[in-house]
Amino acid sequence: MKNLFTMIDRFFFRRISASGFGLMRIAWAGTALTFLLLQWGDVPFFYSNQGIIPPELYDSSFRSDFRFTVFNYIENPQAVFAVYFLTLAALAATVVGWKTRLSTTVATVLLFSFHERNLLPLGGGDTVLRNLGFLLMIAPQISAFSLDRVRRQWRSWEETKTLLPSLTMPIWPWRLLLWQFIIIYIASGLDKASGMMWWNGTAVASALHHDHFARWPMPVMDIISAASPVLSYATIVFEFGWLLMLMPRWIIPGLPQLIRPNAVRRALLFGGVLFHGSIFLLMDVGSFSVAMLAGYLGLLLDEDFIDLRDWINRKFANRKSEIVVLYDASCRLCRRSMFVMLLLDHLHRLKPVNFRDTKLRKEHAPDITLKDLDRSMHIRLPGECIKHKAKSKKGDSFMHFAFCFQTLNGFDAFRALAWHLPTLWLIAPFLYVPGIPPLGRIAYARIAASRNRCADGFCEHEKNWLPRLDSNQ
Amino acid sequence: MANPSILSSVPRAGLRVVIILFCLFHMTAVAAYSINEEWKIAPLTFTRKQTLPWVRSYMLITSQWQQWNLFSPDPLRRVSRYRVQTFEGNAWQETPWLHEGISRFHRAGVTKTLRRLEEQGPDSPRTQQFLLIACREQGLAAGTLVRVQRMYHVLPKPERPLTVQKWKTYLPDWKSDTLAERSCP
Repeated sequence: MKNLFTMIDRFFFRRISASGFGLMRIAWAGTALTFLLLQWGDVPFFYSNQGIIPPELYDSSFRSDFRFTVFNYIENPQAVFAVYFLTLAALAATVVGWKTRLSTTVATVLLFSFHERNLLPLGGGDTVLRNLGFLLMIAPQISAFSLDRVRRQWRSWEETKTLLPSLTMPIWPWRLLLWQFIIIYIASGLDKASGMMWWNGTAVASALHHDHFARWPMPVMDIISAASPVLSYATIVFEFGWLLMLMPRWIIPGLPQLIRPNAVRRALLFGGVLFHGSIFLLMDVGSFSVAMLAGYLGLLLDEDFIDLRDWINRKFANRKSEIVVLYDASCRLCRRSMFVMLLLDHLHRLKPVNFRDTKLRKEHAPDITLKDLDRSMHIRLPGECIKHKAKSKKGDSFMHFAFCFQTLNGFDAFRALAWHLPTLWLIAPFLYVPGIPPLGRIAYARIAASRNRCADGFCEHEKNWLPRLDSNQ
Repeated sequence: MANPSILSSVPRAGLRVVIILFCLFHMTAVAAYSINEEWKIAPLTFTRKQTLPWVRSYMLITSQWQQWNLFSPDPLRRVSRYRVQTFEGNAWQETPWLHEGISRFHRAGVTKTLRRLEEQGPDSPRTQQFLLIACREQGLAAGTLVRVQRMYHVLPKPERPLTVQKWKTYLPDWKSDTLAERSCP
């Protein structure tokens, strides 16, 4: 009996990373925001009493029971526009994670209101957005990758010089999300299986030739249609493949590695990215493809993030040691910069070292003067070993140090770090464009020079640190 | 990992039981609501009929209503184009089709709406309302006749996949009719 309770408890309340739901929140709100923005010119037409469904047509347009929308009370075009702006604002706040719980709840309820006000322009993507919004609204933890979280992290960093541990949440919202996806695919598969065209391989060609959906000129669609039989069958197989996610756990130990839960889930997610990605590239089906891919983010678990990180680190980086970042913990700008870099350090490559700590500085950068360290951020990248000679304390013999690092500072350090922080990968190549490095170095030097300048011309930390700086020279 | 201390804490254990029951209810509701009787799978149809009265209100009030008949049972084959015309100078004025000259996004919303209106049959109240809005937006004089004209064709439903060559030479058989007509107020 106790085992049964433990099993049930684990099934619903095992802690998992909240990163997946955090990413889903951003993608969900971004998708809803984008597609709602695209309705800008049609807002009064779709949702006001001057539009396609005026009050006299309500009775014949809507169900009479269990229907709630704020537009039952807000009808004139100006007021509807005000609600529209409020929804956009709530969605934008949800994307960045400002007052995350409140903004997500407001955005979801208002999105429901728009959908309930007029069913005519709705499609499958809108239903997915409602499903995801509802799950985000009830999930106990959705603040990963949010400004709210950054604020809490900053407090922790300022107080303890460490970041908070990763956010976790109970697994039950993840299970509801997975169930929603299983239902979508199995119901969709069963519906397709009840027709003829998916079985005889003509469905995809027909869909591609429908000019409401076709993104490309018909000659292109003609050529792609050659793959219609394969794509039609693949769609059916992929959709019914989600049944594998219902495989009970007790079967799994007896099965080969390839069809263990993570492998099945990852294969389905990978297949789904190809499937929905292809639909998105070839056909205009509204928000459906993007909304589905947004939902996939919520299905990612701790092990996915860890395996992906390890794979990238193994494949593209020397993981012999971390990158030492020497920063000035007595300067607020430096602390803040270090904090931002740590937030962006999704590959766990950075090791912050406060060079004001004499012990740490001697351990990590005995060959760099404090004056140089004070001038700009220095980093030590794992690299070739360089031998140095130095006098021992007694002064009568030489010790040999082997520094297996490449040392960079200032703008060059930032540019090198950009390759190790995934969020900066897009801008990293631009930092090599001729003209950018000298400008970058000038800008860096100016910021670095003014970082300690205070209103009275002399900062508190300088009073504290300067004597020691002198003694360390 | 289950924590025995949690189960010993009555309020938290109670909350957990509530969450478990909610999850089971939500999963049942979503599944039952998504079942389509057209599948003609007797156990599923039976389950839907038995369950729906219990879950319908929940699904509707939480806006979780859903049906997943995407491109199914067969993809949509009727291709329609629409335009609004006015009767002036004893002739219906030539106007561009709605898919021409307007942004793809605007077009998507409007054409999807008209496609749905088309399903409601000719001269439906909402199509009449669509024309009323056209009168207002175009500033048409009272008594001016306006209509929504539809041009459509139906994509082939071959038993075997068509070759690329056959698609290249395929010529749609366009037909046209009037979806709704009225005079401006």
